[in-house]
Amino acid sequence: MPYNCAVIVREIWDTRDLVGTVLKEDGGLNEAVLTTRFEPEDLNALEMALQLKDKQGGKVTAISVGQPRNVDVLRECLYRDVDAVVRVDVPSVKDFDTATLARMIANTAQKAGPFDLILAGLDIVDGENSLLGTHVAASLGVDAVTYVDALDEIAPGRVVCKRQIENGSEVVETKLPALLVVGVALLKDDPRTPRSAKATLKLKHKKTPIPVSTLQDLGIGDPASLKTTVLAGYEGIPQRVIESKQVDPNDEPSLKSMLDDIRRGG
Amino acid sequence: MSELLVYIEVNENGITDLSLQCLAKGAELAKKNGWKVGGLVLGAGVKDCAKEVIAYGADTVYLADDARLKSFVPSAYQRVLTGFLKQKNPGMVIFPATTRGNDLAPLIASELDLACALDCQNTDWESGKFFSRRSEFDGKVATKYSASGSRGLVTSLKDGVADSGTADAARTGQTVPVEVVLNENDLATKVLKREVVKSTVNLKAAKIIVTAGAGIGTKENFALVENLARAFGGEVGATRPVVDAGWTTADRQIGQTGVTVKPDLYIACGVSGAVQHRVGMMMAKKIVAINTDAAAPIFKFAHYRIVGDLVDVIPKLLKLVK
Amino acid sequence: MIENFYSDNEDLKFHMEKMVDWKKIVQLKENLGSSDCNYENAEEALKTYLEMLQDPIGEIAAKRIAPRAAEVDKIGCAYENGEVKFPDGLKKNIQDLTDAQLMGITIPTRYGGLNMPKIFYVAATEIISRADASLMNFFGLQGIAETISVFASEELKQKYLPKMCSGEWTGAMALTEADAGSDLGAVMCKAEIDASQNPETGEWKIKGTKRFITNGCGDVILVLARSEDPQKYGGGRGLSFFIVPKTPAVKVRRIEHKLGIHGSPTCELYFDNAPGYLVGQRGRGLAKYTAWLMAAARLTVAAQAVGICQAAVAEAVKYANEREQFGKKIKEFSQVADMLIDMQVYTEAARTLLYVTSQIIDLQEGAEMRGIKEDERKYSKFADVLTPLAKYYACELCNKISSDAIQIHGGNGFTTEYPVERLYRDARITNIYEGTSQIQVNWAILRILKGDLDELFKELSGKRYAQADLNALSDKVRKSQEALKECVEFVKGKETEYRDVVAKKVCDIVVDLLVSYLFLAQAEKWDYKRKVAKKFIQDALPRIELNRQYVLSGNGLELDILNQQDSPVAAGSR
Repeated sequence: MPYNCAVIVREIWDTRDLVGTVLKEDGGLNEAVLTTRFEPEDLNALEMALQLKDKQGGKVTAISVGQPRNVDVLRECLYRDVDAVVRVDVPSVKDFDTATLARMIANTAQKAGPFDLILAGLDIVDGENSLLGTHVAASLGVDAVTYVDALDEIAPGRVVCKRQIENGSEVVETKLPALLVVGVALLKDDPRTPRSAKATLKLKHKKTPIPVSTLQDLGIGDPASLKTTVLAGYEGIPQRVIESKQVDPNDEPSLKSMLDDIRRGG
Repeated sequence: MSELLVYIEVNENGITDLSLQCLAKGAELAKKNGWKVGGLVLGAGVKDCAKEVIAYGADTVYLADDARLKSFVPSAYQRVLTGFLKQKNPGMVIFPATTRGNDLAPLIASELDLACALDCQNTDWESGKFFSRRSEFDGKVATKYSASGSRGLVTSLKDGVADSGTADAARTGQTVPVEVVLNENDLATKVLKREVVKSTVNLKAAKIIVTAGAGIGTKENFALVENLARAFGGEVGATRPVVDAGWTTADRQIGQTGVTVKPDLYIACGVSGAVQHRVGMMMAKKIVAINTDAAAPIFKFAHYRIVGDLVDVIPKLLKLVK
Repeated sequence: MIENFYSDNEDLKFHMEKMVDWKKIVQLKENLGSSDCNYENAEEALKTYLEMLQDPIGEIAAKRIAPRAAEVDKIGCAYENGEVKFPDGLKKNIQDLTDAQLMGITIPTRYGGLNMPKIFYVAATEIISRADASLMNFFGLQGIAETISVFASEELKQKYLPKMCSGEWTGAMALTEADAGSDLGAVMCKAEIDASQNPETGEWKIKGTKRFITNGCGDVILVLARSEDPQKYGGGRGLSFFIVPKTPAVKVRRIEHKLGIHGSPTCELYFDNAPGYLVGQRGRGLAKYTAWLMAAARLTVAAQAVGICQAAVAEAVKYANEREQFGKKIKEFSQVADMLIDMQVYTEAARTLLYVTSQIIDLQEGAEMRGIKEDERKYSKFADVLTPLAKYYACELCNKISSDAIQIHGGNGFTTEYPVERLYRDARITNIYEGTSQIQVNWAILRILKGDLDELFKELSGKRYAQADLNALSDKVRKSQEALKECVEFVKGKETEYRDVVAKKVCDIVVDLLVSYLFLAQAEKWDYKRKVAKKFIQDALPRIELNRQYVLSGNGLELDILNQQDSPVAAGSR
């Protein structure tokens, strides 16, 4: 039996291996030194939806907020064979807090739906104040299951999934429609690994127009009125300086001297 | 008088340590701004916790003790909490930044139109307002969040936010029951199975930790890591993928969804050093990393970098340690 | 962390973005403006090509294929009960390439392919080979589908291409036999057809043994077999080309145990009256179709070699940056730095020749497709010399560079703990298969002596630069070019034997001159390349002089060393 899914996808700062300072003299974010990427947990969520579609049929719709910066996440979704995409037509996500973004996405999902499942990645990304998926669930009034790392079973009206919790895991059943906040720790060659783009879809969708929803379409008059949380500023965190030493594993004396150093508490 | 509220998480082992840290933080802030501290305790058979919560610094305990709250069903907990908090119009609600706290905080903030800041390292009272700080941008920047307008703030705080303190049995306080009204819809979500290991280790107290990451590749190699830990007289830790793969129990998980540790010596075997793990161990005094990939991020903050296959390296270390 | 094998490779990016005449290639390949064209204009096509090199190709290569390479090499392919068993990692690699729809890159879209130019396919092959050189022997077998696409009947194309493009069927080419290696005219495998059948469309029966067949366990095998009466049409003229689908009559007898490319099964096949279908015309199997297929295969092997060079340089640089001795990083030692510089410069040199050749082949094939006779003639003349030269050069270099990568690693490099020994083993086949280096040199020298590159040299040497230093270097190279003229004239006047002895030296002179000019052209567009050009030309000029003297010496082989009565070797052979 087919199920229809919506997936929330985000373009976020790529903060891996940041070198040097991220802040400008005036305390603002130095965006020039930053790049962006497709939120990896959102890709995991997308993969979960696509695998469900491969198995059961149904449609996958990707929803995103704001104009792309470097990576057009919605186009990337088309390259991975989603059936529909919608962009909330605002210039930049940076102007909004999580609650406001959630309202925009919830209203979009209501318009583009109905959906049996809405999936979102788990991460609270840099510059976001809260778990977007949970806020969307609250806005839609559906139950959310968070920290989901596998979808065990889906049947008319209900879904069973496994979620990670402290010191273990839970198997949770909830009613449809539901929102799943997906957080997957991938192992080597994990079957849950997100798929790459498909070549023929890249040809097909390179210029496919991406449908947009304006705030007016979504019935949002003044987004500023939805804002609950203020990003009050950035402070540099002093970085720990580590004196690092290379130890050759094939050289017994250097391994030994490392162990001696450690024993001396050095 | 205004009241600062702290959600107290109770699980199979009683009140969690992080809840007590949050309570201590709440008490510290209350001292600053003269507010009272209220503890929120929800669950089934949790009555006895009230005394302990008071002993650890709460002025009042708001207690919802109901059989229907036995399993953690977010919608049910949300219903009870919002029903109560609606009347309170709280200026600040603190949650421990756990899966549970991070579930509840946004649900409540969303329903009550409060501000929300999750996974923060700290929260503080500065010139008449609460600010929560979260480490962002690869640990380089603390981003400050506060409530817009006169709203209250809901925040979740991470392990290490405060010392969990000591109980003062002489402290007195009030226990106020919270009404539990739930409909069928609130209980539509069901926990079918819960597998939680009882913590057998106290990684936080360990002086030496040897950790296995996804790079170990097989369960057999986990035994190798265990041997190394034994030889050093330390404990075994693991990253989340290793726990997910079932190679060890979840109580050994270090990092974002596990514990935060500060041992004297930390030996990371096959650990790539993703930020999710790093937050749990970066304050270790000495870090030794063994990894085949010389470009692995772990080498950026390891004191000793050993590029090599742990299958070859560990036996060599074992020989030398013995 | 290495995340993408396209976007982390600045030199490859430079070639793709700056050094290719995409406008012309796209126009020829895609017939812009026609109704079945995928693109509005050349820019759009280029943008799509480059994006695709990054994702899926560079992405899959770095994140999926490369991490499996050591295991694929260690486990290798096995042969049990008449079946070839692939290691799990290889199965996953093939699945990933299939999922990403990368198995029909150059095939027209109507058969399920991507209709992309050859240079794109070559770049993709370089990237995949860098991740796992042995996987080239699956990915790089797209030339088989392409051969079908170019020469087979519409019916055969409809039947085979869609499933080959989708990755459902893999291919193999069965040319070599035990006694027909470099000399394919000696092929004995027989093809017969019942007189009642139409030879063009009917079912032939193939009988005989083939050896060294890469992926011989594949689903679609192109077989070179003797279809004509040897009394009437002997040697190569009696050979035709057949598609032989996998049936029980195609038996894998064994697989080879090899030094390298363990992730590629090399099979011995026995065709037991296996049904086969004629490709193209009878009797043209060797001269036309095999030649075409081999040219395509040479280019892919050259790409494989460049991929190995890239992997070796990356590993060596990484190690030299990490490894400390005497209190400093080893790359700070001059001898190590010197090796690293050479490795990088010569990787870039091999890449330069590879992509110039690929581009010329695209221009040639495009001109042929669009019926532009003059261009076709011109570029095909260039391509026939450049293809063997590019293969020879890249494959010899990848042996040297992977060996140097081990040297940089010291004793560690000699162990299986580091990937460089695998690269070194994998490199070793590149200058053997699809025509040994010696065969490539034989091909190239004939055409060089005929003057087939004169026009290209004229274009390259006539180029003037805005920067004085580039002109000065160009002048030096031009002066050195006299050596080539001298050598060619000298060799032309000599007998064949002498020509064969010095052929390699002449080819070396040609390559040094070509690459020198091409680096200068690159230097115009990327400041960094000025250093590369300068360094390369510094090396090349004395090398050219040395080779010139060798060629002009007139000294033939000292055959007595092998044959004279008291020669120790002669004694040993008795």
